[in-house]
Amino acid sequence: MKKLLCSAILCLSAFANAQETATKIPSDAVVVAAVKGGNLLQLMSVNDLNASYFGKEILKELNKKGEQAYSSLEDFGFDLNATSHYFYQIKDSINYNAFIVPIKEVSKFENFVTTQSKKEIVSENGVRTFKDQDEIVMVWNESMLVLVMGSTSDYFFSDPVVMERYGLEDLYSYDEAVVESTEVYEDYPEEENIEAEEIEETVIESTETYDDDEDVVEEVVIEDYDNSSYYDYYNGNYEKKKALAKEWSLKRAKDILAQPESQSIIFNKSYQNSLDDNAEATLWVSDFGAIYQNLLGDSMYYTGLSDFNIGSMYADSGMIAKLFMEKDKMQINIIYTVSDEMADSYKKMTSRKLNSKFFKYINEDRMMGYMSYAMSTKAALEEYPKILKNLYASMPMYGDEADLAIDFVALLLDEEAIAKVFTGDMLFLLSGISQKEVTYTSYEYNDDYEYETVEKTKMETVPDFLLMASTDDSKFLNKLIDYAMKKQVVVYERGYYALKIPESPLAVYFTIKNGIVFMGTSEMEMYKIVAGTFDAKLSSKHKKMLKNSTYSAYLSGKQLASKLPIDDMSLDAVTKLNWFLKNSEDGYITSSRIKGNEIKTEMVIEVPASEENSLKYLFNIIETFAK
Amino acid sequence: MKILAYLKYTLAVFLLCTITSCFEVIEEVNLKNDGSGSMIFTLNMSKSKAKLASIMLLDSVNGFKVPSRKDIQKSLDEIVAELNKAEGITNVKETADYDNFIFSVSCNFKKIDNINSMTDDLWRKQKNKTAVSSYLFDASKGYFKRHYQYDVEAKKQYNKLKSENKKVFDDASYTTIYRFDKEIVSQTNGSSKISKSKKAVMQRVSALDIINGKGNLANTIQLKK
Repeated sequence: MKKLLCSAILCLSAFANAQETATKIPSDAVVVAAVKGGNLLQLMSVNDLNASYFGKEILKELNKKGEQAYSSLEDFGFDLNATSHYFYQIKDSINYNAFIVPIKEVSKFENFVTTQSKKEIVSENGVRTFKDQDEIVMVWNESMLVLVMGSTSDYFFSDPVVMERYGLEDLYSYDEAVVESTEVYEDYPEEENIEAEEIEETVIESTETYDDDEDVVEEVVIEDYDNSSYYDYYNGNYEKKKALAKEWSLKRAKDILAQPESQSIIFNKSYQNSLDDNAEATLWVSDFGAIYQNLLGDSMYYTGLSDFNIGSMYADSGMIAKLFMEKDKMQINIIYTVSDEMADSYKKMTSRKLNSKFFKYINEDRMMGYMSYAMSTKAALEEYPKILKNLYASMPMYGDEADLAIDFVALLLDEEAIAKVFTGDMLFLLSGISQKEVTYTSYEYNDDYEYETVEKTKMETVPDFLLMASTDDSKFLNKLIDYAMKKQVVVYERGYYALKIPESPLAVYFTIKNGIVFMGTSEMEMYKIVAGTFDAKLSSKHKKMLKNSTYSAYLSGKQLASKLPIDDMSLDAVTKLNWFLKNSEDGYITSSRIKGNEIKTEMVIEVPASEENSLKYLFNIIETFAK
Repeated sequence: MKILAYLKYTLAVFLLCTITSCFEVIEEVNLKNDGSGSMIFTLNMSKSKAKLASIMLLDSVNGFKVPSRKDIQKSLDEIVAELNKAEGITNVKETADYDNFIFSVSCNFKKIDNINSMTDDLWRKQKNKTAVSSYLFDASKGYFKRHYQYDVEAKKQYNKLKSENKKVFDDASYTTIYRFDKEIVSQTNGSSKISKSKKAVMQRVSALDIINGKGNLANTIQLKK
């Protein structure tokens, strides 16, 4: 059954009539993901897929049973040209992870699932399922498969009224210290009134013999637990909740299949924004606040942190992500939406742009990559306490103390003074590769083989780094340098300083010039900065990327491949990494300043001209690394 | 401050990509005429110090957990504690230079057999049947014998390593130095050399030769009577 599930999810994740399956997603789903088989098959045919490492592995795994020989991914009956969906739905008693996969030929599909699972199929009004279900419930009709996995909420089932209703044992019933709940539980879950319907089952296939081992769990009957040990109660409750989850999941799966379009997510405006004909895959998250509160609720309930106002911190925050697989690049665009309150804080914190003077110290021809970060230190120091206060405010035990402590720390910090020392924008450059002389200890032996310790030198190829950070007030930093010099941690060279850190694998040099703190590993580069002879070269593409982003990261595959002595490096998968770097172009991530309530992040991996398109390129990478 | 953590890891990984590594081990025995003496065991990884310093910035590398300075010190202290418990062994000292990654342990022994007993104990604790190496000194006949038996397990373990981990052994070496009060008349190991004063014998073998069984540390040294 696991294999069956894996292959179904694998097919789904790679491929899987958008309108049809989307209408089955309930209107209150909080996460929806879609993978468009049609778009993907335009980039890679089914035949190419079957011949890929990925396709071969699936077929090999599924052919292991030997009863049926599959030669194509189409043999499983799924509609690879259609769109598959995943959604996540939160209920107070249970959460559902569900997949909706279109079926092209139901006979092929049923043949496939019965061969793999050895389970008996039952049918009711065209809705088919297995007579015995696993934890992941499968229900299907002629055109689509619905997989549902429900997980019950421990928090919900900790309520004594709920426990009594479902026949759960109170694990702490013998602990007198436990105060009996006086709350009247009003919010009954929708599932609680489910009554077992009398279903006239039509067995359509029963030629297979039963694999009894796998289905034993299904048969577990909730027994009377005479043993009063904690673990027996725990295990008993666990089995009962598991049985409930399965029962509710089966009902949910059938409801999904029968759901009319009017009750679906397709009328939700926010969800509609995530739709894009050109995207190969999309992800829509409606409300992080609800998800975090729900996901963390259980664990926080047990750890006593349930009063943290996580929900409010992420209130009204959602996300839309789109994956585009193009000929020359793979691109993921993410739009993260935050609440008005968070947007206000974020706007202030990211009000600062990256210092354009940094560009005078970048040479694109030598550069292997960079990371930039532009934040207003002053605004961050002012806004963080507000966010923290909001997070701690609702804690009944320590809320007041936390509030006081945060105010006290804010009082001690002189935001303006700190912000003058480090304004909050910085750039970290992988600026090149150089040969460095390093010392090591060896021994010299005399004629009598007595030895003395000698210091020898050798050349090492080391990567060079340059870190630049803006400062409006270098007085404090100069004071710090003077102190470090007195303590002989810092040595003054030709206009710059050398930092002596015994544990550091590299020599580190630094200087302060024109409101920039420079710290790097190349002495030559530091000298050029001080002397004003730095040979800068930076294209408008990078200038734009650096200037317009709150955060950006860039790696040049070509530069890395040409400069790093990969063959000599002692890291895992050298050959594979070498192949990858020689077959890679540029990769970058940029995150925009907030506009309205939206933060846009873009991730791009460029595809070498030798590759047909980005999907085939991705498959090549997977194949190389998986082998 | 997450960004600083990223920078630290980026730096370490890039350094690991470029810097080479190797190490040397020196085993010294100074033997007096009465059979007592001293022994020093040194592990010098100074030539790899830039790489080791980079590795120390990481939690694990190539699937191996990177020991912290505390872990290393604990292991050294354990060795010293074992030596202090051993019969006939005195004046146990350890040195640890974490800047240059040089570590040594030294001790005095009443008779060379005390070293054998201690190494036998250690080997037994490691669940190995017999030690591959032991010493014998016969004062009456005037010879010193270094017993060495190639252990195929070394090659098996080495072959299990990934190619990137095997590189550590490429330039590594093992040096033995035996010093005596009396002059040496003869020695049986073809790759060992007798010093000018004829009171010391030295042999340097590459770690790969030891692993592959090509390097033989066995020797019988005949001293002047």
